[in-house]
Amino acid sequence: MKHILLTFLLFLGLVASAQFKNTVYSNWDSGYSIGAHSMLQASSNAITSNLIWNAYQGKNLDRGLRETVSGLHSRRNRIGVDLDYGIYAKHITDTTKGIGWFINVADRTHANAKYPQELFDLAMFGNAQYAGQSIELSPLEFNFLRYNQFEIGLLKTIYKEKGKWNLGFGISLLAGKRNLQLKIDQATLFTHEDGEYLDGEVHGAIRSSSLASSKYIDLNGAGFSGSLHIGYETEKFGIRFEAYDLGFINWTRGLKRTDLDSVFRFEGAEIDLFASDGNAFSSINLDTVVDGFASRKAATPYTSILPGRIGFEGHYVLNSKDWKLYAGVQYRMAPSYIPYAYIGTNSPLGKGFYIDGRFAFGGFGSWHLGLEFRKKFADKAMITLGTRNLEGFVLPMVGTSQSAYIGIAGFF
Amino acid sequence: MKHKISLFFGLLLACLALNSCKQDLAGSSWDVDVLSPVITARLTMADLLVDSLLTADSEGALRLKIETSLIDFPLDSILKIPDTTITEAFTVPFALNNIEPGTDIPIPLASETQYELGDLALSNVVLRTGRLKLKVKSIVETAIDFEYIMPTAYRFGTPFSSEQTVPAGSPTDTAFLEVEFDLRGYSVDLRGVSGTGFNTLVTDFFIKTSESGSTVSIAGAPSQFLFIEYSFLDMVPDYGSGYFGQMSSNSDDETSEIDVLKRITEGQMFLDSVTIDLSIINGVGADAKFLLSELKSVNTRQNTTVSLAHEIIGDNILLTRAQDPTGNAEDVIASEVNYQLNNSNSNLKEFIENLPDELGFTFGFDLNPLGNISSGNDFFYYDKPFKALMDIDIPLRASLTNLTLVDTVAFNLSSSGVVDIVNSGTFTLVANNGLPLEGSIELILLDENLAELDTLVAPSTILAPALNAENRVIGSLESRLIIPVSADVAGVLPQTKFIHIKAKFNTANQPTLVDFYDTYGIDLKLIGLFNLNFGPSAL
Repeated sequence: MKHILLTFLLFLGLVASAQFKNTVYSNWDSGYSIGAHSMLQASSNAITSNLIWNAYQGKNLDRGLRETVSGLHSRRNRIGVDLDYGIYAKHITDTTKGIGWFINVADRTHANAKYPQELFDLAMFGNAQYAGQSIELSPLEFNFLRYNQFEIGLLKTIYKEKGKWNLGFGISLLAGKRNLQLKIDQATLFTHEDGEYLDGEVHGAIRSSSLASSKYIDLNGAGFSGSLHIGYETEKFGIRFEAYDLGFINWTRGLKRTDLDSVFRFEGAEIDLFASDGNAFSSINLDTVVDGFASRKAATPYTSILPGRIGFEGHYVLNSKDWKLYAGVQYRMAPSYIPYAYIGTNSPLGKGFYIDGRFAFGGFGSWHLGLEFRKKFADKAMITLGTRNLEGFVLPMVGTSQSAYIGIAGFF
Repeated sequence: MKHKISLFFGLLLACLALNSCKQDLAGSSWDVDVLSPVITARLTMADLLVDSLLTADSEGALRLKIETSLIDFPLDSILKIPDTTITEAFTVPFALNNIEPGTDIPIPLASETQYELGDLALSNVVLRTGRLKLKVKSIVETAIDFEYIMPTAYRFGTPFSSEQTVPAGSPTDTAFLEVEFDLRGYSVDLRGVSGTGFNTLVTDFFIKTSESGSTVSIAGAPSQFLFIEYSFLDMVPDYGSGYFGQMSSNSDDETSEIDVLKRITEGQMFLDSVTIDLSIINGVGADAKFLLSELKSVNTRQNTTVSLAHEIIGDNILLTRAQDPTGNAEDVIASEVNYQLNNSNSNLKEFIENLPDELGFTFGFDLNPLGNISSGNDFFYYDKPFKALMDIDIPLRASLTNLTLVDTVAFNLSSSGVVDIVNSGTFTLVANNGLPLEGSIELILLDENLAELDTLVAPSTILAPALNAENRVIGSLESRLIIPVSADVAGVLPQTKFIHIKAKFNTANQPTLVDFYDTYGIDLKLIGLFNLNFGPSAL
């Protein structure tokens, strides 16, 4: 299965694209339609595709590769991962009076982190290089959540003399499955020059809900989110404002909380060389080492904000063959995310094929090249394959983001 | 339409597959260089001497105190009551016809059983353990109620009594009953019905036809209608009185293990002085004669033996009987003879310097050597045996020459998976030595069958600190031992289940005797600089 999937993703890499819209709101042709969509994206400002692919395939990460990636890091670094898939059905009326609707069921997984370079170097090369030095391992933040989304909404097209308004909004019930929040405000590690002791300081907290849950639907937390689309388009141009996944989940089951608030010195695990039970090493217990600076607290329900998106985009039709130029900006409610600005173009290729390409900067990564192909089958079906990060596939030694998506829709 | 739906669900399956492959990340790994302290330990003289009691005087000088039992001679091994089984068959002199339910059947009421105990003539015992197993067979064609009584066996002031019922039987189908009673704690008067006998147990037996049974007939003698078998088993007295007879016991080449120095396998230890307080205690209410023919210090590791030379050896010791003023074991006044053995009246120093792990001895023991001079009033309590105790006192003022301690300790880190990720590296053993000893240490890795896998630490020396004019340690001396861990050694760590430790010690300023103080110790810290194969699977 892994090899099939890798081949599949590689294929996507070769045909990548730059589609960048909410799936439900991406097409405003009237009529009934159903569709399925899946998207995987991993972005970072420093971790290259080479490193990720090697890790993904379970390979040994050679030192040269790790040193290259280390060189791409800055003082503050970020990473974000999304894995979404789902199905939808919708109806858009072809008259001015009617109101359309949609339903959307999705499984969403998101993780993001921000971290200093020293943490990456510590994990990749060990602490021996820091003998006699103190390193800063904060600020460090990691968030992970997985949930099911059950969304219903309304769609409305208002036709005007020179164009039309596309309006849509939806509300979602969210079933939270798993969550982890780690936030370290301050953390340092000092390694004695001869290794006689390690001095550490850590201040932060870890909260989680049902991390071990493996059910497809598991109500360990509940919440709501909303989506909104406002667009206006004419034959020559169009603009749209879009916001989706704006909401929260309140986690109530399988809760754990650990406070990290300590200054500690580790001088080795204390053992009794001539223990009465004949086992000198029985006293070594990593839990007791961890317990030295971590205290488990009674957990109470807590809320996490979804990494929702707000975006604004405009397009201009360059010729009568529907060749478009578009540009936009997007922001996500996630730590370390920087505004994602993009510019791109798309055009029909004939025989129902479309191509879309773009350049972007920001988000969890740095620069991005997107490429997308679409194929329409006699206005009855459409398949979309693309990537937002062509650079991750064709320049894996410098590309720091990877993504692939696929969508299929039927119209009737 | 059907084709579209198939395509739709096909794509959905592809979406789910995408979600299922994220765990492949777990197999990745990379090498990291880790510098960290691993373990720390403090080693004191108490760690080197097993099962010992180290005490310190007002100046902190250590003394090794060993209390050990040389001979522990519980008299129940002599005053033993054997398992005994007695069978009785009952008859009636003439036929009893039409016996109504609930009718007493006339049989001999009381019986006396005298146990054959040799010279032992017990008048009273309190049982520490003991069981009565009762088997009853009946051919009477109705149920038989019976009562078994030991009128001279009391517990909490009540004589032993048990009422049972044997079901109805027939001449061709014998009814059977088996019951067992715990006799622990019973005080049994063994003087018989007359009150002047010994070793004699009195029992009463009553039978009658069951109230709920039918009218039956019993044939007259010689026909037997009821059979009883009662067994007294596992009888161990907690207390006994009477006359114990004249008994002799000899033990040749008995050994008693002495663990305190068992880790020492070779080398020499020279001491300043040794004192042994030897107490021979008679807690038995009978005179005793004790003859210690030989006491040997046996070093089985080096196969050397030193026999004790002292006036006690070969001398008959007469111990008078103990006193029992209150009838309680706690208040027994034992008869005791004490000897002090030291450098001046024996070869005790050589005896201990032989580093014994066993004491060998030959002794003789006679009970009541003068006969029955107590008029049958000997006594004993289980917890007040005849015994000989040694209280060894060794001031830790010594000179050690290549004194070698050996131990094998379990190594459970191999089961944790931690050692699996070691590629190679170096251990640094930092030893802050505050003991007036130069030490050499060797560590050998062993598998689960204690077979040698590799040497982790070749013999390496930890230097002794400087001593002042009084031969006291001025301050700790740091030694650093570099222990390379090659890829070969790292490769056998996962198979390592035990570590064989061999440590050799020499005192500083030899051959001067040095004192050991309670503040002395050696602080050990093991620091690792290792290249590890790290990754999600190592976490």
